[in-house]
Parts: sequence; structure tokens; C-alpha cells
Amino acid sequence: MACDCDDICRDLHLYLDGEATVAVRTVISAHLECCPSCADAFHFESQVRMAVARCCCEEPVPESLRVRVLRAIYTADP
Amino acid sequence: MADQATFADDALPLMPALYSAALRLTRNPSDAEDLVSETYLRAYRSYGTFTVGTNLKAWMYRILTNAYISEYRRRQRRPAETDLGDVENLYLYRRLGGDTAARLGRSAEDELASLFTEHEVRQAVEDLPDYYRLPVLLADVEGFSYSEIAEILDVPIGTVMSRLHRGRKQLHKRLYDFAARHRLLPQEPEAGPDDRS
Repeated sequence: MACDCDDICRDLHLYLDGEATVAVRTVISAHLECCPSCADAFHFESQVRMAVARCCCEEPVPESLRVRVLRAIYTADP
Repeated sequence: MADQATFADDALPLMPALYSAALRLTRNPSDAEDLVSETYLRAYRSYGTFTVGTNLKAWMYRILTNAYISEYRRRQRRPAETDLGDVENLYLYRRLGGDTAARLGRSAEDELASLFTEHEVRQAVEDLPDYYRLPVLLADVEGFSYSEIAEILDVPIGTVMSRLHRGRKQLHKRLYDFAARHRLLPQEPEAGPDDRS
């Protein structure tokens, strides 16, 4: 039976965000098992997200900023 | 109610994440340092209103976001919220993941690394307008849930979802532009898929 790939891809973000309902998640997981083209698309989207997260996360904090924040806190009026 | 005496111990471990977000928001290290410093000072002063056991990271991001909007965004021209031209679903995948990845016989992961530098990915995020950049950062970099983002940005969940959706599409469009510019892919890809010359 033909699966409705457009409907599945419409919920791609909800699914990858972990925000899809259990029912939707079950339908999508089952579809991905049987549809390599949607599985590729989902895999690709999740790789892009991981690349964004990797490139944007946790850059080293300058020591001067740490010192500045601590000084501001310890000298601030409560 | 949280005790100010424990603020430094509780909140300082979050600084690398907050500083990275501040860099993406202000787009320069000097403003990012000012923003983080202002965030910690505001957070310290109102730490008494933070409920221990709730999400400190989300609480700090809310302060960071508010400080950014009040202190920094004010300086920039603030464009009205418009859709920057709609981009179809799976834009990047259909341009790259399908054709190019299959042709090169590589995994999507390798394909991505060969198409954009880390700098370009950061640039693509920084090029998003604020109303897209904030939800994209909060969701895709920090891993906050829709409801946490709604609370941080003080907008309804439906707004978070639509901005995230459009923001990611714009991000993908921008990434494709980088790939096209640097790797000589077709600049204005239209329907005709297989144009090898």
C-alpha cells in the first residue's frame, strides 16, 4: 500500500523535535521502516541539525568575562 | 526561593552556553561579553524570585533574551516580521541530499561536512532575523522544548512552531546558497534535476 510521504514529511520537525504525540510517532516510525526515501530525508534533516548544534555550541568563555561577571556579582547591591 | 549566596555556584556553569548564544545573537565578542555580563547581573538581582528545582537554564535564557531585546536589538533597525519568501519543505535535502549525495555515494554527514565550513554554518544562523534566530538557537542548539521556548520568548507555542519551521527553512536556503557559491552547484536550481555537464 502506498504511504503518504507528504503527510509524513509535514510532521518531520515535530518528530525530530520529540514533540509528536505517541500516535503520530508510531505512524512515522512505521513509515520510515518501509520507506527508504523518507528515511533518507529524516536522516539528512537530523544531520543538518547536528551540524548546526555542533558549530554553534559552547565556545570558550574569555577569562576576562568570567572575572568581570564575578566582580559584578560580588560588588552588586543585593 | 533561591538563595543569592549560591547564585555563582548555580549559574556560572551555564556561562559557556550563554556566551555562545550571546555570540550568535550580537554577532561580535565585545557585545556578547556585555550581554552575558548584563544577564548575570540581572539574574543575580532577581535570584530571589527563582524557584529552586525549576529549570535554571531556561530562566537564565529568558533573562538573556530580554536583555538582548532591550539593550542590543534596539540599536539595530528592526524589520517587521515578514516571511522572507517561502521556501519549500525539505529544500536543502532535495537540492543536496538527493542528487549530490547519491551521485557522490557518500553519507549525508560527509556530504554536509564537504559543503559548508563551520564558519558558514554559524554565518547562516547569524544571518537569520531575530524572530527566527532565537527559536532556532533555543531548539536546535540548546535543545529546549516548544513549551520552554514559548516561556523564554513569551510567545504562544503555535508562534514558536511556525517561527521554528520557517527559520529552519531559511537556514537551509542560506546553507544552500553557501554551497552553491563555493562548490559551483547550480545557483538557481529549478525543476530540471540532472544537469551534469
